Amino acid sequence: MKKRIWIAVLIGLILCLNAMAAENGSAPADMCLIGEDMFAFAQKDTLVIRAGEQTIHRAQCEGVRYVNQLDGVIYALCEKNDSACVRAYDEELNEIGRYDVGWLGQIDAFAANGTHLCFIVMNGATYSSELYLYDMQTGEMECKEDFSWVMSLAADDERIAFQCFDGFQDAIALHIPPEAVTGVAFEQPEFGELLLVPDMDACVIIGEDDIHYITWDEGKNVKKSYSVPGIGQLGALADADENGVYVYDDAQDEMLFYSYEMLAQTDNRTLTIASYVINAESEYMKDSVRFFRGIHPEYTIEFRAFGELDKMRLELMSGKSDIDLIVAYDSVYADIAASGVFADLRSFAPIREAEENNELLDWMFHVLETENGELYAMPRNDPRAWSLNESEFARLGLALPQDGWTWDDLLSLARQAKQIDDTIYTVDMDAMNYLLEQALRSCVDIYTGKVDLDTPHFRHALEIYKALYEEGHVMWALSDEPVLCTAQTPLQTGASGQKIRYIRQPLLAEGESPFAYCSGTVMGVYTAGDDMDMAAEFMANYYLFPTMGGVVSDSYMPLYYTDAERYIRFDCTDTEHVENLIGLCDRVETGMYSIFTGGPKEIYSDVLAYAEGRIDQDRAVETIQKKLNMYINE
Amino acid sequence: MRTRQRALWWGLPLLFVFVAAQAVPFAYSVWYSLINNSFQQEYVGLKNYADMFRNEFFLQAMRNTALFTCPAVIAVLLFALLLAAAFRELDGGGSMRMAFVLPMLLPSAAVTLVFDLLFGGDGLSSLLGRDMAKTVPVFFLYIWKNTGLLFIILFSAMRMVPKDRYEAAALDGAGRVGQFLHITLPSVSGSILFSATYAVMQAFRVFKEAYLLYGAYPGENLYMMQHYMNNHFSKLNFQNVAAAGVVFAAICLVLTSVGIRAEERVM
Repeated sequence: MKKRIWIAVLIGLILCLNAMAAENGSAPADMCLIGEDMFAFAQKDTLVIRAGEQTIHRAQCEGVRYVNQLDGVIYALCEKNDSACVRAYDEELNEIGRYDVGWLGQIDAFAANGTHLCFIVMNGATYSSELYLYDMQTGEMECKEDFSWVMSLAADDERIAFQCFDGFQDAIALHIPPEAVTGVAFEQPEFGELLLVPDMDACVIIGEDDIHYITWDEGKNVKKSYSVPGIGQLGALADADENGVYVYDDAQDEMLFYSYEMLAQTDNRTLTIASYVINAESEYMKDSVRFFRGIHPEYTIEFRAFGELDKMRLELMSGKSDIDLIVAYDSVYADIAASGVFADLRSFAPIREAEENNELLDWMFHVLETENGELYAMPRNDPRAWSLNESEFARLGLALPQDGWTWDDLLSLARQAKQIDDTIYTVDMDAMNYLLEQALRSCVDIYTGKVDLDTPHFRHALEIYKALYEEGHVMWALSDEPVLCTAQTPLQTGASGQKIRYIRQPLLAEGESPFAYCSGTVMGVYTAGDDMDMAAEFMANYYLFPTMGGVVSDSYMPLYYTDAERYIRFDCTDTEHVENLIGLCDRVETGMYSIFTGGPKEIYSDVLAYAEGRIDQDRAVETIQKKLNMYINE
Repeated sequence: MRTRQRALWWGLPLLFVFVAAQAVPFAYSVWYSLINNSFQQEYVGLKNYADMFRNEFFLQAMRNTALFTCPAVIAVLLFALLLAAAFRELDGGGSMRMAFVLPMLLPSAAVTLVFDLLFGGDGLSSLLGRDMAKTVPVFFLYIWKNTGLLFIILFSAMRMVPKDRYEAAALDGAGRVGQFLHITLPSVSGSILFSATYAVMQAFRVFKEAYLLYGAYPGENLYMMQHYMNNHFSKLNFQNVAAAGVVFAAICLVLTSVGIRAEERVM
């Protein structure tokens, strides 16, 4: 007997919990604004009025599906047993009226405008939606058949607004009974939840990822679109007043408010970044965008991956692309830039002015500026410099270099380091190549194609190269273990005084080299550390934005990001380090247009032949000059 | 008539392959050479050709190709002819003939390394100048590689010459040189012309060896037509490549036609 009682209690308990869950868990079917921070919800046979998060009134309202408010009266559309009625309530949910409208069919939207109750009904015979108007005074029902399709409905004291297709175009139609319908055409139709802004000639449409604010005057409409990603997922329950748009987030059970003022502040533009390989899904990119928007909320970033280079080029060169910026390697980039299809980015000028002390940014803006001052493309980001391993210098007892380094200083330090510890290697072959490229930069005029390598500057670079090579400062064997790296500084050539603009990726050398260098992959250094946010922040500040037209080489950075533990040896987690790097970038001087001055890869073999003593310097200069001349001018 | 119809049917697959694999791509190349770029595809007439003929490196590539081809073809023909004549005198030479075919079977990458070792160093450079010295290995590589096939062709042709002609000439007092000049050469002239045409085409294709030896930029004297096309292809200048390709094909076509006509005439 006891057992049966317990089972009965348990079943009762389950039923109660189930009922409570049903009560709490039933999502609202509709919502409307009824006062300041007060909303009426149609929720499973119940009408609820909430002020903020507090429920202040509740009333049984069987079959309620839609709720609408006008002049303090709450109209609730209820459907049951093939009949529909609209119940009127005051703001304390006392029923004050009832309108039986009979069976219309499947009602897809409901609104009240003071004189009429308005319904959008699906016509099962024609599979089209029709507008029905019920006169609250006379009880007469009228079907407006002027439109082949009617969607999304809103109303206020006088007006009834709905989205429709009038046989020619998609439109917002305004109807002020008994006058004729006024059509307000969409320039770019987008359907969604339609909201009328009371007392204003304006309406709001909640699109998939945008809030569209449309005003009209004498038949012309002006549409402003504000990007609110994902709003369409929430926008089914929404209302608007003269201050802004209210959208109910069912998942979080909270009311979101988007004021027109706030939306207008973010109404600048969307930056579309495209590439054929860009990985917008990577954590690294997501975080970068997040931080970038934290700094520049007026921008929305969109990524487009084409998968194939030619597809991207095709669209860019069509002149109809909405791509703002591309991510590409420099050769591709220069090719496309040469065709003049990049957007004029002068609108970025305010950012440039805001960063007027940032030489690097200034340089980036300058490189692709044409003679008439137009900026057709954002330049590539390829600032490079040397990074130095402070702890290794400390271990060796060598003083850290300061600003104004030269390649001679580098050679001198390499020699000192070698004397102390002959297992120390200063540079790898990549570094050697960048020494050459840096030297070549001043010897090639990309505009005229003139190549003149017979300069003291280039010869000096060759001598440094040879000395580094001959004296065993070059690391040949590479591993994928990066070296420690805590500070960086640019170098200067002794001959010309031109600073090195390069930062190279972390040196992947075996052992503990005191030297490393980083490049456009500077982020690789940071993402290798613990603090991923710092990496993304730096990316956002100094790479994502200034380089979006140029080259954000994300092909291997995600690897660094996602495989952080492997690179945990990097000691790059302090903010000071970021500042060092920013400072480094700031110090980089403006320079010539960046081309692949490395030219054909064969020139490296000629330089190596010189370094190994197989050919003399004159011959090296002559051979490289010929190859480079042919490479640039053929 | 029925035989001809049957022959046409049998030839259809070949015709299809020719059209699909050669005629259509070639027509496409011609079209490519007449447009501004691959994306806008605006017709620009002969602008790409005009630009190309104004390009000093294209002209240099043409000149280098011609300067390489003429002596190389003459040399390889002479060498093959003399070898064939010598082997004919030796009455075939047995399996030694096979040795001359071997170069055709060896991979170019391996052979170029050997030639680089053989002709590398500063000896040739000091003698001929650096750029010219680079031409020598490529030249000898060409001779070495193509002599075999030409030798086989010419040797076979010489074997077809009836022996009684030589016997009659000998009775009339003709020496070996006289026999060679007055009997052998006229008898195999068709094969010589065919071999010459083949040798010219092979000379145009010497790029592979030059590329393997000296890369995409081998120096002023060895920069050939195919270097020009290959480098522009790497830079995605497809219109330039197409225009150069059409010019190259036209030259080949003219040379082949001349060869065939001459061959028909002497036959």
